[in-house]
Amino acid sequence: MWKVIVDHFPGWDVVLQAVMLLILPIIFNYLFQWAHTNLRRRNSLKDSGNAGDKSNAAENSSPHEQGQADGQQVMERYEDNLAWLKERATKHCDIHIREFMVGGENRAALLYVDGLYDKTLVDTQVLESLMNKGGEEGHPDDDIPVTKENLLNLILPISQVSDTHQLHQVVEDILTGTVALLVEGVEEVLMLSGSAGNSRAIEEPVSEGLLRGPRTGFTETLSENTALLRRHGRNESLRMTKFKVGSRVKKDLIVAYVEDIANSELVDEVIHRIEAIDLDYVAESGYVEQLIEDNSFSLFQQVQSTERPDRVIGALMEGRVALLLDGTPFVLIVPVTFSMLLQSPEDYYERWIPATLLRLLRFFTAFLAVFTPAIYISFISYNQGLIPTELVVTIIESRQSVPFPSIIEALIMEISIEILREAGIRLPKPIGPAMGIVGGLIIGDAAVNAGIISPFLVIVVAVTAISSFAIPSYSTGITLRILRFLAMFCAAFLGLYGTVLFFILVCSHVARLKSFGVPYVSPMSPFRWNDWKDFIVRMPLKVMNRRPIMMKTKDSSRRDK
Amino acid sequence: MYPMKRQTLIALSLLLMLSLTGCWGNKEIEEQTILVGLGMDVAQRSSEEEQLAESGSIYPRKELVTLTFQIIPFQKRQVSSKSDKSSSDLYSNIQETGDSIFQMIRQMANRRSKPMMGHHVKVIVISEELARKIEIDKLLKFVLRDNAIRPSCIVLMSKGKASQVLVSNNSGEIPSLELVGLVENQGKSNNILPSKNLTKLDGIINSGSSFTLQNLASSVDEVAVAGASIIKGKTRKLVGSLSEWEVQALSWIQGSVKGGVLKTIDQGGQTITYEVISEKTKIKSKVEGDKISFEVNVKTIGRLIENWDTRESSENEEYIREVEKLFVRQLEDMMNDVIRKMRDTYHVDVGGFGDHFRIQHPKMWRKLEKDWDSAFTRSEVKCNVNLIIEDTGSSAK
Repeated sequence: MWKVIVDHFPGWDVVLQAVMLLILPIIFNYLFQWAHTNLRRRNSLKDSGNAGDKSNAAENSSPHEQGQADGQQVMERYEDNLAWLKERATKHCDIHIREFMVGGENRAALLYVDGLYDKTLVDTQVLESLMNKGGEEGHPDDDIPVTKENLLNLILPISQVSDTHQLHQVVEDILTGTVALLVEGVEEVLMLSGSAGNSRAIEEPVSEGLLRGPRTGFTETLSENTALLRRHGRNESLRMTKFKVGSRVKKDLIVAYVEDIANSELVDEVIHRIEAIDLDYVAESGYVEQLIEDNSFSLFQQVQSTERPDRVIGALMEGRVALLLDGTPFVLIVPVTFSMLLQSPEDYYERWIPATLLRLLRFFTAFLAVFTPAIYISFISYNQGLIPTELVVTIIESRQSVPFPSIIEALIMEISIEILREAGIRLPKPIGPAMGIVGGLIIGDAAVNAGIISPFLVIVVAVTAISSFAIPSYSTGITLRILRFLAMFCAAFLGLYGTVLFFILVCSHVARLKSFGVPYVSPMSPFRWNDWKDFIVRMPLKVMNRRPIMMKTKDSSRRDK
Repeated sequence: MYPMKRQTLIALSLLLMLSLTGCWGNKEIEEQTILVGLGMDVAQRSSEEEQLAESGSIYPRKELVTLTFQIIPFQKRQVSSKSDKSSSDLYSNIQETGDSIFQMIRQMANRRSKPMMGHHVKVIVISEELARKIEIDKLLKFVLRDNAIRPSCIVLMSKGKASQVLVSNNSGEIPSLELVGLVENQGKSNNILPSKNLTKLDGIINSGSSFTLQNLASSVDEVAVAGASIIKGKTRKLVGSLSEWEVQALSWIQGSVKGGVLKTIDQGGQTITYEVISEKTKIKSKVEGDKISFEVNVKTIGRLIENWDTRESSENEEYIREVEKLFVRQLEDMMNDVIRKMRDTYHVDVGGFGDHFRIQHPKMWRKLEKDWDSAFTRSEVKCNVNLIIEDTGSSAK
């Protein structure tokens, strides 16, 4: 009796395995939690420390400066003001001061930064009108006294004019492109905005080309970008809120959302995270992306960046939030789900059947881009029984001269393709295609002939490389490339079993991931049948009459009735 | 810098863990040879084996079976030791004699540098002579249990030696794959039985019923299908064989005709041929007291594809009716012949009558199950054919 029971006890090895199975995940879980909290603590420490610091700085530093400079407020005398400004301007060689007379009576000075101001505006609208004091040429209207009101109402034909009492503010604003006007007898400094800067024409985005759809892309100028959004359609409820990011070098960041669609909790969360950004300089929207994302350890991007206004508008209409940063054409969209990264605006412009097929194709290519080399390795090194017999014969014959195991072989080719791709970005345009041919064709062919790799692998690598370019988002392509290498190692350890394990690992990671509170793989998990209309398939527009449920929008219906 | 150190330590140990793991079970494809076919013969040492035994490679064994392993791709290294002149570039056959199939397969590791891989075994050929001597379940025990060999592997019989079937004179052909292709031609010719793979065979052998296996005949140059072998369920040994003609009749009874030919002669002694378009067989069983009787109803539609009697117009309705009768008689004769052979000569049921009986009379079946073959021998079988010539093809004349 006792023996029967003892027989059913597992051996020590099984117990050990069970214990490992229990302990390892817990260890990993704690490790990651520890890393996460470490990151967050570091962030929040700075955050809270700085929040106090900064708010103090914002309030305190100015009086401090004022005390030093002894002239933060605009002073009564024109000369004092000018002297103060001149003293400040000597530090900046590109600040120019143009002194002149308004209507031959009052002295005045224009301050501007070389290259940033709108030359035609200053020459024709400001200088001309001021010197003539609004009257016809040759007949200076002497009756008008030079006051602020008269300047604004009668003399200056400029739309964007503001005034300030703060002299230090003047300097700061000049540096962003406004022109400051200092007039004798006027207590304020007038700021004439008309910064031209040098902006690029609106072009089709290079990184997101489409066959059908608007050929516009964002530019580096924030005002133009917001204008592009506005131009997409009249909509009063499109709200844009301006924030300043960067503690030392300040930049404008606009949070755009449709007020009566976007979930207000989501907007609050976005604003909260943006306000928590504490960095001396935010160079590009990529900085913002990394500073506000949920999980810094994940390979998957939790914020989408795009150059296309139509994509942004589409996202806004689904209840998402867009972040526009000055100085970059890349606009961020949050929250993001995995399926969004594989969707293209074209899906909605084409009719639904071709669009659906293209989507299916893109999901398939994403799979190919990650798993083809891994499957090749597992077939060659482990699971030969799964290859059709005739193919086995050819593969064996073609691999007869290859001295390396398949993982090394695949790594050689994959790494050289990655090098080619990386080099291709930097190659000068005239040489680019030629080098591509040399790299891709000649190296591939020569490697086969030299017996380093088998011809099958060339097909595999080519298919993988092409598939990773079929994905609409460049950053997603990079993610999938990294995953591909991990999958290859897993395949090299355990064959197809390892590949499947890796797939499960990725799935479980993605299923846990959240982007601004929205599960990354929704509508797959949590399963929302209604959202499947716009997931792998794109149903006809007539059927898609609700906004994504996962966005928890204020107005879920896309229809009036 | 304490946490920094800890982090690097963790990262390093993770890396170390990765490098400590090996590549479990990693076997590159080119470092293996693929077993595609297996032949089983009555023990007879091949010349290489004789030579090896003479020079001292001996292990204790009873010599019961000679296995022929067909492996691809053919290794250049083996050229000198091959005496088989008929082998082409693609494959090679190696023989090993012994008593345990598994031991013989593993013995190959002693003779060849690259291990054999069993996933791609497509066909197992057993010689009639061996099947007469040794029970088929003993021969197939290993292949049925082995994890590598797929259950889709087909089992065939050969009239002569199995090793003779597994050769081909055409270079670029792999005989095992050719055999599989041959057996799959069932749709074009109804003297090929539906192929029996290991899964089906496992069930049949365990149920203890008798069955047929496709037979092959080999000439110097060619391998062709040649009737079927009958294996009696009780003894699991071969009891006899059916000719091609009888196999054809059997497939009409089993309802497995998917096309093919029915030929007879008309009153004038001229050839007439019927092309089968569709065929359906219904077997009804009746129990009256102790007496079991079967009624085989064959219904077929086809076309008159050839009539050598040029005077008769095929448009003539009367002629067509006449010919239909001739075909019916021919078919009934064929079927009665084969039934007689099963019942009276070999005392086995290989026509699937048992299955129909089991479904139609489950209670009675339970009583007779143990000795169905003899119960079938005592039964009556009647054949009815309903043959319709639908058209005469594209040409009216």
